[in-house]
Amino acid sequence: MSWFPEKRTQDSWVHRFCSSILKCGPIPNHVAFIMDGNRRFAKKNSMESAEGHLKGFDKLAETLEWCLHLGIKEVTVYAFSIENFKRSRDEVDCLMELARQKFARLLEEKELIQKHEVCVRVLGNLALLPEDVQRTVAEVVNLSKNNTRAKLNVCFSYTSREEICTAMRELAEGVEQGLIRETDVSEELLERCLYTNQSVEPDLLIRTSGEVRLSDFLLWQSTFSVLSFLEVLWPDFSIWHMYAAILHYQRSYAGIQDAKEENHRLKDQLSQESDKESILQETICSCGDKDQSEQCCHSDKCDLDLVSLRDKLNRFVGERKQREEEFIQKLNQKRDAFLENKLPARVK
Amino acid sequence: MNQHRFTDFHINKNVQCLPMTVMMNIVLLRLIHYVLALGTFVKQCLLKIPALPFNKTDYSVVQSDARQLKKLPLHLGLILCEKELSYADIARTIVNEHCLASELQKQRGLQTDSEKNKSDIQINSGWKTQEESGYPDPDIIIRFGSVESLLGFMPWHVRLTEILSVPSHIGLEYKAFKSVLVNYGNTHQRFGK
Repeated sequence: MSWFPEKRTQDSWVHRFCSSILKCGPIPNHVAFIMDGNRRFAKKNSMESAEGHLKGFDKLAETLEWCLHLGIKEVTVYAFSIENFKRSRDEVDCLMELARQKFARLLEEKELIQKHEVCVRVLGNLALLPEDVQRTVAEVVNLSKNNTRAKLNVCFSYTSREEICTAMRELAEGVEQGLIRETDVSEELLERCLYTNQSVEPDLLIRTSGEVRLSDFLLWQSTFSVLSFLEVLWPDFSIWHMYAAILHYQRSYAGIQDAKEENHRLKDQLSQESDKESILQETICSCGDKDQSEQCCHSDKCDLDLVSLRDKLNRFVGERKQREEEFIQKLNQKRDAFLENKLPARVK
Repeated sequence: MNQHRFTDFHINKNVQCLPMTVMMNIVLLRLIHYVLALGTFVKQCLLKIPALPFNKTDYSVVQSDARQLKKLPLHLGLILCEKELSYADIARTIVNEHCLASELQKQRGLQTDSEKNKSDIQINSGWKTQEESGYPDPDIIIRFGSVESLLGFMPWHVRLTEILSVPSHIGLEYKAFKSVLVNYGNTHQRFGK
């Protein structure tokens, strides 16, 4: 089945009515899905697991259509975890084959991607995937990279801890290579090193099949997301469950916004204190260097007056931000280059 | 708190300029939310009604309940997202958990989930084992309050933590707490397999 199904749920007046009511309240900009329950669905309906996964894919395509019509601009899905490599050889091969077919299908439907202006990104440790899947992924990402209307992030060969560790490793290398300083390392900079650095944080995270855990999915990014755990199995997920999840999001909206604001305020405060500390250290050090024999600080010798300190601070912040921008740019170029190298010659 | 009520979503729109249909939809949505809030309130009230006239929990009740529990968390996380905090109720929750845990240990010498997780983590090199970090990852989080989010609670550690919700910790009865642990007992980790 297609990534862009022909059956348009939104044509029914009931759904258009419900949609228009929900849109009177806040709609999440970014929704994340843990599409759990395909195998249990297959067992329940006496099917093979493979068919369960196929039904799961069809449900994904339908859900993307609902999100587009509800005005949800970005969707992230947990398609395959690094932990899933532990499954039986047959099942892993079957899932890889499904991925091959579906990404290839997406390439065939490139006009529809361009028509809906969807930017598809595949996030995870792609080096763990078979080479041909990596090549197809590279083509899909390359094809849709300039689209801005909607975003689809497929987490494939992904775990959140691996993502955070990779980001930490990048930061450590950046400090080692002198691209950034140790004092530049902050929560914000770490966030910009994650695979999801081109996206905003998810507002709503939906997990189906009744499990009530995150299972290593977007642990960092979902700190202020509304969590919606549904009993329904993923292939049985319906638009009514989607509406219920959005109502759920709207009920927690006020509390979350307050908490987010408080968090931003604290982060800014920490960042300012860190910058001021660095400036003070620098100034005291340079004073010490000038005159070894005397104690610091006479105001005529040292630049510890407020005005010059403020100037130094602004300059320091500007330099720090520039260092960080250049570092992040290099990191993104490195990641883009990894995928571009996988592109077949005819596309390059 | 609550500066961003979602009804303020329309704060920049001049209400008189909105067409009739949109205004009707806004009213309908508010009605739906009021009904949902009422439903939560009623559920909360029902939970507070004691099961028996003399609801004092004695040790024999704890002993028989401990026998029925399938598993107990080693590390319990609590997220309190309510305007008022009742330290007495929080303390009572922790004491209840401790009583059940000691009774369970006595009866079965049970291996808890976190100990099973430890061997899982050790296989993956580079990640801290239980001994190195000093304490295991939380097995369960009980979230109190109306905001359905973890709000930044130990993001690294909650990789496999079961997240269960209870409307309020104020006046939390032993029976309600026990039912949360029974739900926890019914969860089943597949670790990706």
